[in-house]
Parts: sequence; C-alpha cells; structure tokens
Amino acid sequence: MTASAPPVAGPAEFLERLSEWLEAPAAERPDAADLVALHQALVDCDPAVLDDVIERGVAGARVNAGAAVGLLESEAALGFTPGGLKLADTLAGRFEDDERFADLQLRFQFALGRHQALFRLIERLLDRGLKTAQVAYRVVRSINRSKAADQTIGETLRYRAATQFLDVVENSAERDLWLGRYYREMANTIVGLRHYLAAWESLPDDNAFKAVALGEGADLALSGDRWGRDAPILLRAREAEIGSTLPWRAQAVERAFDYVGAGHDLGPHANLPGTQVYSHLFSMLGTPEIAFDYLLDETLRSRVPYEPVDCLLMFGTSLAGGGMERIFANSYRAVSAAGAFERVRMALLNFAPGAPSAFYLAESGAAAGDITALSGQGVPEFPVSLLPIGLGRRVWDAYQLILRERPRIVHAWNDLPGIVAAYAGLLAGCPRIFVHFHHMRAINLSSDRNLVRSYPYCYRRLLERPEIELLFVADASANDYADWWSVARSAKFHRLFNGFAEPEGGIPERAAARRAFDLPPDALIMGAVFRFHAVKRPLLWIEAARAVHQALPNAIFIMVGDGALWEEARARVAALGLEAVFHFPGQVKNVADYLACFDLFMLTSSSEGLPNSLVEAQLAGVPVLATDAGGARETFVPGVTGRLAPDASAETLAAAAVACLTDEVWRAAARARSREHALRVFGIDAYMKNLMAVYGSAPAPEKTGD
Amino acid sequence: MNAGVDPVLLNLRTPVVDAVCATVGGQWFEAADLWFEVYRDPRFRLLAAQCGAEASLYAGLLDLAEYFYLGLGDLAATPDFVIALKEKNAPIRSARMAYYGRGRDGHAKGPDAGAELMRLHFYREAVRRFLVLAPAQRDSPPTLVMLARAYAMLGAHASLIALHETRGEVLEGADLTPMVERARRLLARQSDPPIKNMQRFQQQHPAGPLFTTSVEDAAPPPAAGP
Repeated sequence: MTASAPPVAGPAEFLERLSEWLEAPAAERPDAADLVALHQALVDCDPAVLDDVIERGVAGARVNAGAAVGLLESEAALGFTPGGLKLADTLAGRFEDDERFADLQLRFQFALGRHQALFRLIERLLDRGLKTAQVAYRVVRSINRSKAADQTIGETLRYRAATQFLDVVENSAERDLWLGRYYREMANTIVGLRHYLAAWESLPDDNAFKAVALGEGADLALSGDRWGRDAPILLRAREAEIGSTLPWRAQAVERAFDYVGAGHDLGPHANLPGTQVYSHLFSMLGTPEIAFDYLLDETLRSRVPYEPVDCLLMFGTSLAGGGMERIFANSYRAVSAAGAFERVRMALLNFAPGAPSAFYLAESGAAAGDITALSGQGVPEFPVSLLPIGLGRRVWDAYQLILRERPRIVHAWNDLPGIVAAYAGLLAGCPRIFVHFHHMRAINLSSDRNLVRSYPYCYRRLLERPEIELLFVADASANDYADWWSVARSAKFHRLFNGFAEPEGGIPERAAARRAFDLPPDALIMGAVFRFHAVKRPLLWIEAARAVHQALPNAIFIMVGDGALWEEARARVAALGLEAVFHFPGQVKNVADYLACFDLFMLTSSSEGLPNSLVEAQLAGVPVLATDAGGARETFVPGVTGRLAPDASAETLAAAAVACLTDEVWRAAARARSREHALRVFGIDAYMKNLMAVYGSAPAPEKTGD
Repeated sequence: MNAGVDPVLLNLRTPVVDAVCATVGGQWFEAADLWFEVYRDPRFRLLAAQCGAEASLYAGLLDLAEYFYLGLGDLAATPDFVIALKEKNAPIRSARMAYYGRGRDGHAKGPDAGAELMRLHFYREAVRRFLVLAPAQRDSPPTLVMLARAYAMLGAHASLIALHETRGEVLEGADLTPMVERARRLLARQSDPPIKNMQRFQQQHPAGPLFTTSVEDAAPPPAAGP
C-alpha cells in the first residue's frame, strides 16, 4: 500500500480494496503492515462474504499479474489459509495460461491438506500439458509428498507427472538444477548430487541459479553421510565460499577435509587431467568412520577420564513391547534392586510417557522422571559433529548426560544405543563401557542402512579401546558378530544369557489352564508365541502343523501373537480348511496361561539371537522343538528338554513334532527337566550373578552345565 | 526423452540405471555405492544383492559385501559369478582378520604400509597412503605401479589413464598396457547412452536376465492420454 492510502476500517472494507492492489504497478505494492492486515482479514472474514468479496474484487479489476503473484507469495509467506487459497483459485481462473498461479494453488492446497482437490488440479494441469519447470517440479513434489503423507495416488498419475516433468526440464536452461531437485525429492541423493554438480559446471557465471545449484547440492551432501563420495561438490562449495544452511556441518566437513589431508601437496597427482582433484584422497572419508577415527586417533590422546561415581548408566532403544525391551526393563529392575550401585540411571533413544515406547515402564520399576530421553535437540560440537546428523545429536545428548552422571559403568543395549553410548562414553572419559547385543548381525534389523554399513568399521575401532567390552545373548550371536566384523572372538566377547523372572501369579497347572480356555484335557497341543513376522516364518509353521494334523488329526494348534503376517496366516489356515483345529488368540498379556496348555512348543525362525520364547516355554515346563536359528540350540538340553529340527522344511519339522508328541515317556521326562533347566541357566538369579561377574571383571560368565 | 532412457527407470527412487552403467563400465567403487542404494527397493533387491556383492568384492569393500550376502539368502542358490568371487576373496578376508587382530601397532609402517594395504585389497586406503607419501617415495616406480593397480581395481579409469599418460616414463618398466587399454575401453562406455549400457548388461552380465524381468515387473501401468 502506498503511504497515501487511507487506513482500513474492517476486514470487509479491507478486502474491497483488493482490486486496487491487484491493479497496482510494481512500485506501489502494499507494505508489510498492509500485508499482515490482509492476511488477518482473510483469516477473520466470514467464508461466504469472503468468496463474494474476492470474486467481485478480482472480476472488477484490471489485474496486474505480477502484482497478484506478489500478493499471493506474501500471503503464503505469512501462512496458508483457506482465504488465501480462494484468492489463488480465483486468480488462477483469471490467468489460466500463467502457471505461476497454478504453482501457488498447488502450494496452498498441499499445505492445507486438500489432497483430493490437489490431485484434481494436477490432473487438469497434466491434461493441459505442463509448460514450466517450476510447476512441473511442484507437481511431482506435491505427488511425492502426498504419498509420503499416506495419500493414495495412482501410478498412472505419478508416471504422467514424471514424464511431463522430464520433458519440460529437458528444454530448460537450468535442466540439471531441476533434475538435482527432483532426485533430491526422490531421496535419490547420489544421482541428485551429480545433477547439482553438472548444473554448477554447465551454467554460465551470470546465471543466478549457478550458485543456487551449488548451495543446494552442498547442503544435500552435508546432510548426508558420504562426504568422501560427495567431496567434488563439497570442495567446489568450499572454493566458491557458498554459505550453508547447516553451518555446523559445514565446519565439521571442513575439519574432516583437513584431517584427511586437504592441505597436503599432492604434486602432479592433484591435477591429473580428467580426474577430480583430491577425490581419491577423500574417497574413504565417510561418517561415522571418520568420526571414530578422529575420536580414537586424535581426541582421546589428550582426553582425561573423569573421576567416576558409583553409578550404572543403562542405554536402551525404548521400553516398547518387544522381547529385548522386556529383558532390558527386567534387567534395570533387577540391577536397581540388587543394590550393587549407589544409583542406576536409564537413557533411551525413544521414550515418551504413555506412548508405545513406554510399554514396559511399569515392569522396569522406573518412574518416568528417572528416564532421560535422548531426543537429540541440541547442536553437537566437534568432534561429535562429524557423526551423521541424527546419530550425532543423540551422541551429544548422551555425552552431556554421562558428564553429568559420571557413571563407573555404561551398559548399552544393542547396536545403535551401543554406538551412541560407546562414542559418548569414550569422549566423556567413562572407564568401562559394555555393549550388549541381542540378535544375530543386525543388517536387516536396523532402519538406518548407512549406519549399519559402517558398524563393522566402528566396532573394530571400538574394540581397540580397553574401556570397551561386548556382551552377547548367545554364543551364536557372538560368533556371528565376530564374523561380520572380520575379527577373532576375543576375551572382550562375553556371553551373557538373558534372565527371566517367574511370571506374576506363577505358571498355572496344565489341566486348569486348558479348562480356562475350554480346551480338551487330553488333546495333544502344539503351540508357539511370536510376532507374525517374516523372520519367524509363520507360514512354515502352519505348513508343518498341517502335516502334523495329517498324522495326528486330533491335535490342536495355538499360535499366540500378532504382526504383519497375522491375517495372511489366518487366511492360509482357512484355505487349508484347518480353522477348527487352529487358535489365533492374538497378542495376549497372559502368555504363561497359554504356555501351560502346550505339549510342545515349536519355533520355525530363520534368525534368532536367543529366542526368549523357547526359554519361557521351558520355564512353563513345555519341551521345545526349533529350527537351527542363531542361539535357539543354546536354550535347551539337546534331546532332553528340546530337539533341533535337522532342516527347516515343513516335512522335517512335522516329523520331529510328531515324534515328540507321540513319545509320552520323553515328553514326561522333558516336562520334568525343562523347568529346572530354564531356572538354573536362564533364571534372573543366574543372570544377575553372571552380570555382576562381568561388571566386576570376574571370570567370564558360567557355561551351562549341560 | 531424457537421455534416451524410459522415465519409468529415471523416475525410480533408486539409481538402478546408474548402477547398471557403473557395473558395465567396471567402476567398481562407484557401482558398490550405487547398488547399495538400489538394494533398498524390494523390486530390485535380488539384482542389487548379487551385483552389489560383485562390485564390493572387486573394489575390496569386503564389509559391504557381507551386507549384500544377506540379500542373497532369498535366492534358491547363490549365482556362480558371486560364488567364484567370494571364494577368490576368502583368503583376503582371512588375512584381514589377522591384520585386525594385530592391532594398529602390528601394521606395516612407512613405505611398506601401502603395499600391505594392497595385499589386503584395501585399495582406497592404499591410494590415500600413496598420495600422502613424501614426493620421492610417492613418485617412485614401485609406488606408482601399485597406485595404478589400485585405480584399476576401484574402477577409477580416468585416473589410471591420466597417471599412465603423465608418468609413462616411470611406469615403462611395468607392462601396464593391457590394464590401461582396458581402462580406456571401459571409460569410453561412460560416454555411451545409458540405454546402450543397459543392453550390454542385459546381454553380457550373468544378472542380465534378472535385470530384464525386474524392469518389466517394475513398469507402471500404461500412461493414460489427455
């Protein structure tokens, strides 16, 4: 608004002046206060009145398209409102051939969550044919982000949008910049960076997008973890002194380059024709590898350990409803109760009271206030800033927590908390750090592939430190990790079986348990308790049960648990016509009541660390049958309390199951021994004894007597 | 159309075309990284597992190869070309275990460190070691020959060729001609249209048929007209 314009009395009057603004030449655009007032008017105005005012305001004006776009851009910057969308829609109707308005419509619709209207608009735009790279990009981005927001989008729409985008940008002077953005949007970083680099190299110096391409590419590289791979673009951004939206990452990369040898005189090798300067020098520069190298080779040389207090600090992933989390919760409770430390503290990567991540909070005996959530809100300082962003933020939290608590022992559960706690603990000067593994090699379990890729390197480096020791739930797990990391299993590798407390209320008597579920007292019952996940192979379990059913038609099968394959498993049983002999109670709290009904527990997993369910079955006096997965064979006395299937075929499993079920003498003997074995080897008392032995640097945990 | 490649492929979140081109071009270090990206797409996982293992083993990235092996578990049988490479690398892996077991103090120092890294197929680490040596050692014939070999194994063809062209007099004693010729041949492929390299892959690579079926399975429904 020009300085001479009269003040506005109310929203309706203000909106009436829309036509004046929409006609305004560039020099007479509304000032900031007017724009805020317009925004407020669009928010406050009655929708019916608003529609009318906008329609009349636009219809009655000789609209200057540039002024209108500027007005909408300003409105978008202040916040996306339905009124703003109405204005965008009306103006887009007035300027159908001007894609700038379509671009604004797309932005408003997406921001307001009007997905169906958004898709209809995209269809119309595609039918008309996209003309500008800006809108073509906006279309593919809107589709991509709508899909990420769980909107259902047809493949045909996605294909059409991608095709038109690629056609449009092919003729754009900034082709590679747009492709860089496109692949960045597709999370295809590696290809996106190639295009950003190509844009920087191909655009003329007077093209304003040249620096934009380099800046966006450098930020993309900085936010990732493969700085060596991305060195060409990072080095160019450094040379061109392009600013970053991640200055602390840029500083970390700068230090990393210097550390690797950026200042080193490579002589004639620096300028080999057709090659990237220094790229080979940096090719091995990746995080977190470089972060661990720097920590061990530089920082720790001058690190002075703190004076520890009698505190145990336990790091875990969460207290969610998983097997490992339950063992973690029970361990925290048992260690706290044992009084071996003046204080025991817990830190979790994910925790919120009342959320699924707090499922085992009560079982742990901790109060919510006792738990530190490593939320990762802070900005890490060097050298933690060398770590991948999410990891670095959590390590920074952990580091500060350790400095505050000064524990004499840090005990971290599983791979990721292990990396977090080990890095933070070493940096802080913690004297003893245990990392406790609960699976076989974690490659397929972690959600962070880039990090998993670095684990062998990081753990090999950690093993160089005297502070670091490793615990494994089974020998199979220890051997598998050693193999994965290409190291020999050394004295730093301790086997520590999980510990199990008696279920509250004890184990019910078999006949009573069956009565409670209305199960026949004399039927043979084979069961299992597991997540219906591919690694547990529930469909194999069903195939084996089908074969058992053919041999023992009166046998009953109970599959306790739920998961992604639960529906498929039920459908399979229905298709086999076995619904009458199968039970699917889902996830239950009273697992022990079901176990008490079983004559045989069968596990068909393809991979296991130490299968808790096999131990708990024996604790309930149920003999077990298992495939040879990970530590399964370590849970029972071979041939006495359980059997191992020679292979993982349904026929073999069924034959073994029938042999177990029909051998009453064996089952009776197995029942008698199972509970005694489970208590002695896997009871909470045995666990605590072994854990304290490890903490106290006593000899390695006891071997099983069997 | 963009670079002559169907947008079905370019549209993917995964750089499968780039990975195929890198494999065809023998750019093993780069190919390993690319197949790692492709691996996250279930439609190409089996393909990525075997090609990723191949590239990793050639480039000496044995940790990464372990990652890809898990993906091979979904196959009825591990492809012969992966088995052969894995067996060839088994002694290297054993030697690395001994190397790690010796600790940093037990590793070769000075000029010998690079040679030790080369014996263990730590090519990129060796390159770095060579490049930061004092000029007299760095540009000595034995070091340059090892550097050339490391470039060849990583698939850094341009660097190998440039090294040969600029330091030819020093490398004369070592017959690097076949290695350099091969690098020239493979480098030339990088300038070919992606579609040509895809055809090479389909026709010549043991995983070519799997690539063909994976692409067919990944194809979206036909585009509806306006």
